[in-house]
Amino acid sequence: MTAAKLIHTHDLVKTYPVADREFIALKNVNIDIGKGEFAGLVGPSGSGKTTLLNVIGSLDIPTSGSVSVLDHNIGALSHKQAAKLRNHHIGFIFQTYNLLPVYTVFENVEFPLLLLGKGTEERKKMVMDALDWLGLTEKAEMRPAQLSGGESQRVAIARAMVKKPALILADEPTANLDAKNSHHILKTMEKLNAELETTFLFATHDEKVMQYMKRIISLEDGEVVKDETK
Amino acid sequence: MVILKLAYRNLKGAGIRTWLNVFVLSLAFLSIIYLKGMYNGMQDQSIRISEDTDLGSGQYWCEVYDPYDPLSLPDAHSIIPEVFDPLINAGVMTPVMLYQGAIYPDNRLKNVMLRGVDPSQGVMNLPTAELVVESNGFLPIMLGHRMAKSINVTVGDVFTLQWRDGNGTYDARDAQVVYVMSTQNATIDIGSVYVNLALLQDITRLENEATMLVVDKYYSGELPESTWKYQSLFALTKSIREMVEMKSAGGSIMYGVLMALALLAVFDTQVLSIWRRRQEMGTLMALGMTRTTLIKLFTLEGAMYGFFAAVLATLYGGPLLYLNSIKGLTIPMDMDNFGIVLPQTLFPAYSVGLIVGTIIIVLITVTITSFIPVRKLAKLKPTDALRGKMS
Repeated sequence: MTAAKLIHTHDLVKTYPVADREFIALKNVNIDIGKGEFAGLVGPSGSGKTTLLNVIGSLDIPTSGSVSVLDHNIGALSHKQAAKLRNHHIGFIFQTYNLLPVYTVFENVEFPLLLLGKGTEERKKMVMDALDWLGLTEKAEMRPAQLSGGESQRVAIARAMVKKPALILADEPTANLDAKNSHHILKTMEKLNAELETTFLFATHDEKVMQYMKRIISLEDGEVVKDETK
Repeated sequence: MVILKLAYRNLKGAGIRTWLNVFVLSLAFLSIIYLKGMYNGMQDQSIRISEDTDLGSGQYWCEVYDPYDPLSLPDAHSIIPEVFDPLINAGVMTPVMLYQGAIYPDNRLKNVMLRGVDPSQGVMNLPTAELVVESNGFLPIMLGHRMAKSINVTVGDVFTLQWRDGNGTYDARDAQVVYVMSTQNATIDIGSVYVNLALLQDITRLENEATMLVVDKYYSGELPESTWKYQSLFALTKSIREMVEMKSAGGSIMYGVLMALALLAVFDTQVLSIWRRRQEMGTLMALGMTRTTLIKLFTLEGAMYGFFAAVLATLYGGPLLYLNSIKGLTIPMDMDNFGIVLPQTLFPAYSVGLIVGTIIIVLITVTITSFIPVRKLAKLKPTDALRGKMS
C-alpha cells in the first residue's frame, strides 16, 4: 500500500435483526484503502458489499469494530456530522441513478453545491465544468425522464464529482447499462480517478467491471476472502 | 434560503398536483375573508344606521322603561328631569315618548307603537320636520315605508288612531299620513307611528313627559347624573353584535368545512409525497442533507401551498372582493326584517387586520398540517430510504 490511508476498517461487524435473530452482514472486516485507489468490492448477492459501502459512506453505523474515513470515526459521528462528511467529502453513484425527477440535469448536478452553500456564479461554473467533462452540456435543461440509461448514469457521476470529493462510492453503477454504456461509464470514472486523484470504491458482481479495477476485494458471507492488487 | 429554493423547485416540478391544492386553498382563503367581511360590514353598518336614526351616542331611559318587558310600556314615561334642560335646549339631546296605541286602517285593528318626537330635533336622522303641517284637523302622523306598505296606506290617507290617556281613559282621533319616510332601520319602521311629541303629550295628558332622551352622536361633553338610567351606545348595540356573532358562528361552519377539505388535500399530498419520494429522501441524505433539513424541506413544501394560495387568492380574489366592497350586496326585501337592522345594500368591510389575520391563520394551519405526516422522517434511516422503505 503506497497511498495514504483514506479508509480503515478494524474488526468491522455489522448485524441486522431479522425476525427473532441477528443476521451477520459483515464479519470482522479489516481493510485499508488509500487515496487515489480504484478498488472494487466483489462477491455474490448477500455477501455484504452494499452494507460495507453504506458503512464506509456513513449511511449506516457498525455494530462493532471501527471504520475510519478521512480520519472520521464513523461509529462516533452524530447524524449531523455524518451528513456533513457525506456532503463535503463523499460522492455516491447508485445502480438506479437516483436522480431527482423534478429537477433538470443542471439542477441535479447543482444540488450538492447548494447544500455546500456555494454562490450562484461558482455553482454555475462548477456544474457546467462537470457537465462539459461528461459530455452533457447539451442535456443541461433536460429532465431525467428524457435521458437514456447511460446519460442518466453520467449525470449521476457528474453529481458525485461536481464537488470534487475525496471519495466516490459506486454501488453496481453499470448493472442497468448495456456493455457499450458500461464501458463508457467505467472509462469516464478511470479518467476521473487519474486526473483528479479521486478514490473510487465500487460494489459489483459484474465480471466486466472487475477488469477495470486496480484492486479487487472479494467478500463472501460478510468476510473478506481475498484482497488482490493488479 | 437553500431549502426555500429546493421546496419551490419541488412544488414547481410537481405540476398540476401543486396547483390544484393551491387553488382549493385559495378558495378557502377567499371564502373566509368574504364571509368575515360580510359579517363585519353587517355589524358596522347596522350599528352606524342605529346610531344615526335611533340610538345617538346613548340614551337616558326613564326609571320604568324596559324594552325587553312589554308590560312596563304603559307606565314607561315620566316628567323629564330639569337637569337635562340645558342639553335639550342646546339641541344635543331630544326627548322621545313611546306610547301604545291602535290604528284602524281599512277598519282593521292594528296595535302600534306611537313615537312622540320633537319635529325640530336634529339628533336623530329622521324627517320629523314633516310632522309640522296643516292637516285639516286630522292628527298628522308619519310612517316608515315598510309600515305604510304593510297596512296599505299612502300620504293623505286617513284612519282612526286610538289610545288610552294618562288617566286611563280611551280616546280616539282621525289621523292623516302626512309623510312616508324611507329608512334602512326596520326596527323603528315596522309597527311605529310617528307623532309630534307636543301633540302626543297633549292627547295623552302627559305634559312634559317622555320615555327616553337620545343624546346626539357627535356630543362628547359631560352627561348629567339623574334618576334616569344612562345606556351607552355600546350597551344599546349589544344585541346587534350578539346577533352578528351568532350568524358569524353559523357561517364559520361553512368555511370550516371548506378549510378542512383544503387541509385534507394538503395532508393527503404530504402523505403521498413522503410515500412516493422515499428513495429521493435517501438520495438527499446520501448527498449530505440532514434529517432536520429534510423535515424542514417537506414541511416548507406544504406551507408553500398556503403562500401560493394567498398569492393566487390576491390575484383573482382581490379584484372580486374590491368590486364587492364598492358595489355592495343588495339585500332582498324578504330579508328586511332579519332580526337586526339591515341596510338595503350591504357593503362588506375587508380590513387589513381581517386579511392579514386570515392569511396568518391559514398559513399556520397549513404548516401544522404539513408537518404532521413529516414528523416520522425524524427516525428515517438513509439506508432504508434508499431501498424505498420507511424506518
